[in-house]
Amino acid sequence: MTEPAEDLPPYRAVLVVDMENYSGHTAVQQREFTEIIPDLLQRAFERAGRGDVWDERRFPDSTGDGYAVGFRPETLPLLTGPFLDALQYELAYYDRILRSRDRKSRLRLRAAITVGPLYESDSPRLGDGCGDSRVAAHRLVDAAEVRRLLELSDPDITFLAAIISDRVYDDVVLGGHATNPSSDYVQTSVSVKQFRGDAHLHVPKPSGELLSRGFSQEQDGPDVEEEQPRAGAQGVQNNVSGEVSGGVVQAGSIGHLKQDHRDQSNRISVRGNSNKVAGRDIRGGRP
Amino acid sequence: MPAVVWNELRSTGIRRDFKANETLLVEGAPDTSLLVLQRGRVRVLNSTLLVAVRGSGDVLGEMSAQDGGTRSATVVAMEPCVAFSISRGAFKRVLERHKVGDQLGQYVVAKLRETVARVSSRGTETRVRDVIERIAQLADADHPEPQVIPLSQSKLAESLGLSRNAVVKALTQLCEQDFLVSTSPIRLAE
Repeated sequence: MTEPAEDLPPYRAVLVVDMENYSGHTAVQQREFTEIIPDLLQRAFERAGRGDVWDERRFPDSTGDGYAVGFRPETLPLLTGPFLDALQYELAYYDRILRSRDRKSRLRLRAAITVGPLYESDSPRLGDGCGDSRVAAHRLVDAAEVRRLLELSDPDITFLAAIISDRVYDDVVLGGHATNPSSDYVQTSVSVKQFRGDAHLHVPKPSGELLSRGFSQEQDGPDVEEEQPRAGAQGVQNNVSGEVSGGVVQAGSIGHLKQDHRDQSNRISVRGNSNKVAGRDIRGGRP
Repeated sequence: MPAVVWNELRSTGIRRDFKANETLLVEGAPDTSLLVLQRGRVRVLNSTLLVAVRGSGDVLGEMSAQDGGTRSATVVAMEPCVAFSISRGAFKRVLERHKVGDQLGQYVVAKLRETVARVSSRGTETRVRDVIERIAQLADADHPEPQVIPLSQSKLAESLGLSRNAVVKALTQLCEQDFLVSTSPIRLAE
């Protein structure tokens, strides 16, 4: 008996944006932002010269304080590059209008971009735009690492901070398809709810303390993660048989793990308690 | 509205495209702009209850004289829509230039009259039938499937403040009366 194989649903790029400090605004302002966010996204695509991409959007879904939407995966180089730049510009333009009325209200966004197979409405499965990459995008946009980028930057200059999944980074940036170089991104590890994984941070227009203190948490003084060792992290053991080349990290409690992709040396640095580190190739990933 | 006014409103506004179920206007947001609906049908909701159905040629948003108010309803696309966003100031200037202020007043009154009856004393079946008829009437002239109501049973139920079961029952009765040919999707007889 052979079980019939189900087709994988189509691959989609997922963009999720979320507003900073939505609840800190009045009800009227909140509704204004809910109404304007998709408008700003559309204008950003038009500014980037690709209004056609917005016209082809899939499963658009307002979340009140944000927006989730899918696109063809071929558009990822546009999304990660010119679109984010244009969105920063549109948000800065909109801020000039906001500012003239009331300086207390601000519309600053975090954006997450992922890619993966997603069910669409014509599929028999429930829900439009359902799949792990959609969930991952919602988790990434909530990550402390990307929130921090906005908190550290000048609110009158930096209106957008982005986080892209490891997969998008590998396929688009390392694959040489991005309009911006890999050095425009800073690798980070994200842990939000059930989601764990590597991701990459990018700010189209950084400013303020973000410039002096950097994107990475490690320059923030005491590392919070170090104080909260994860349960079950003790007594890690690797059993290796046969010949092994390459490398391994054996870890007790990892505070920060970083591999330098930018040159050929493949340096690894690990911070945290009771870690043993050896070797060369490390790949992060979702559990 | 005269075609010349309509065309000027269109050319003054910024084109916005909406997919099915996207929100065009949000209840409670500042009513600083209006939408001139060029294509597609929309649901006008107060909280989650349907107060009206609008189609191409309609103006969406508050048309009260004073500024500084908020939108009294949420507008959601039933199918892909094309609209032109125009500021209230620019909207008024176009109307004044063409001296159609009176027509606008009549238009507002007509719009209110069209508001979908929510009177609970009327039977479920009548209300469901009225809404379906209204939606079908507003289909664009070149709509590929004017008989299909672009609304799921659950959305229709939510819009009318009815249970899904009550709506399904009413739809089944309307099928038996040959008003509908199918209940999912909701499809009208010729």
